[in-house]
Amino acid sequence: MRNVGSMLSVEHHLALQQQLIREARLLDEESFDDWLALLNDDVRYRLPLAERRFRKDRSAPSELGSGYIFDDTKQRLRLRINRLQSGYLWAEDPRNCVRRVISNIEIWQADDNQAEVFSVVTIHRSRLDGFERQLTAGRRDRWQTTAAGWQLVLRDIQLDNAVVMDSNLNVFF
Amino acid sequence: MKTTQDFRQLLRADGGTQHRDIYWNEDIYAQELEQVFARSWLFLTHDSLIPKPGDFVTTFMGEDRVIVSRGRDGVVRAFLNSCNHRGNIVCRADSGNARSFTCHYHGWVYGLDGALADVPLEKEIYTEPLDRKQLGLKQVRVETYRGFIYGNFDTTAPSLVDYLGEMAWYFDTFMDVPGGSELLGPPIKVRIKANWKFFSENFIGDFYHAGWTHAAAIKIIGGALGLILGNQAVAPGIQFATTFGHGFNASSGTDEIFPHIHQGKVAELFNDWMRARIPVVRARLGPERAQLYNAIWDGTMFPNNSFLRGIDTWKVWQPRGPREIEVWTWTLVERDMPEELKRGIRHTNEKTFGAAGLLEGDDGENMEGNTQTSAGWVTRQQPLNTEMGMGREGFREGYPSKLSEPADNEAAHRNFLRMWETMMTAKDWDEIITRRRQDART
Repeated sequence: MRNVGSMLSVEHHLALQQQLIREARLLDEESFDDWLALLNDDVRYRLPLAERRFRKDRSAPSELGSGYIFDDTKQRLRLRINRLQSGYLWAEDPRNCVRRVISNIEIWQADDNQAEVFSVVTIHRSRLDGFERQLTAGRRDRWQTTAAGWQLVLRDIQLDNAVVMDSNLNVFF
Repeated sequence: MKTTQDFRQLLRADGGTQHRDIYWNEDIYAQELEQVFARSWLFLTHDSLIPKPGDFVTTFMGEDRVIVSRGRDGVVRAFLNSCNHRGNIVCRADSGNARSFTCHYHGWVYGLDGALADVPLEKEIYTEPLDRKQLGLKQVRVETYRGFIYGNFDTTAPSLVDYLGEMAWYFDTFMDVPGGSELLGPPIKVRIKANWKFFSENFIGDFYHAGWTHAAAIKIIGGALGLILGNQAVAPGIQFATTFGHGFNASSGTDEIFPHIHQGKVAELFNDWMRARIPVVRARLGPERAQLYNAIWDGTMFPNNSFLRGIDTWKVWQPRGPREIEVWTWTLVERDMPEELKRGIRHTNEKTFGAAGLLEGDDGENMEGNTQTSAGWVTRQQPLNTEMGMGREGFREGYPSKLSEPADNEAAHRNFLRMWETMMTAKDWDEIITRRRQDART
């Protein structure tokens, strides 16, 4: 067992890196059921709301915290996928262009059989008339090794914009 | 300023048809900033979001940047967020707690009340002392209705309560209850490339779109909402339209808790809450408002503040030119709800009408489509239509404003547009009040 904070073995590192890139392709291809299979049953998938506050401001934002754009369990992600697959999602018919670029990958040993993974995702979207939108986010994941390969246990996403510059987020980060 | 005569080309007198220019044209938009946004009560924030002295948020009134802050004396004030030296933005944070606001160009300091508190080296470099009073940040008139804080640049406008008019009676349904209502923030902010009025209209009275636009979400969520899937059935409901352009739909209440989309534990807590509260509302406010309390609402306060009860979302459509908005979304809860229920309601709001909302995401495409088509000159000459439900409006015992049935209706759209036209052509608030009161009676 390697020390927490050290790198994984080359083999494990490559396998997990491959999984990240494959995950992006599955989403680009709308293979949502295959994507969901990469997620642990207890997965938490979160994108908290960002706010611009002064660096020195120590006042608490609010008693109930700031809220989320995504705060999902596997069941809620399934609901989102059901919507995408419902056949009634007009915004995604005809099919839109989407392509993810995964970059800045760091993989570190965490406790037990988990790895802590940092990465950046850039999602290129294009819809009617070639109208382009680009969303960039940083991700901090926990992946767990299982008999079926690496599974996502936790994803904390930080959107690189305090204002969402797209009229919908029918995409996963 | 365009006259009523000019506007007759743009809007039929009853509001039933419109020229697309009103959703596209730069000159009309510029006039809106001056005659609508600079003269109306615009939503700023809620007491619950700036509870302590020194708490502040920055926001917009039209395209004017403003700071809203609670002073050491506990009073909430709002003022322009632009330094009076050379115009720089003074405060670039969204919210927080501060003792003062400093412009980072030359270090001028403004107090929590917007007064000019300090000018570095003033004695040494200015030949005359500065007139501090003149150079304070321009004050916005601020009034609060049951914790909901609004601002108005026009000192001659009626009070907020008078501007609300009949809407105050309706809002009391959930604002004049023990503990009242409050908002959870910070707001989610999303940019959409469409004219602000399409959103105000959509919320004020467009129940008709829900079954079709939101078909995917309805299909997968199911339950009682399934009734309206694919617009196969008319849902029972009433549409209200008030003197100063505000309006909303309410689904008809029944004795059962209205169909809602909370799930699991949140649904249990919500049902418990409603069962306990409905009799309280009935005793305090009467049977009509008890029925409204137990209903789903979609509505808009003129010009650009919308809300949903049931989903419990509160929104402002911040205009960014005639073809873009930034929508700000908060969650609406009652102050005395248990914390777990508040969290649950916020979660449902985020899930449905947040930036990644299962329903919100459907609307953007429509509004952008509505707007973009006007790029074509020929298309722009084709009128748009809001004639649904014409001739069905009336008054009913027990309700203060005009109303009509069902909620699949455009009476509130027409009323909104008539208020808009009045503000765009009236020379002052006396004229606005006279014209609107006459309209409200007929």
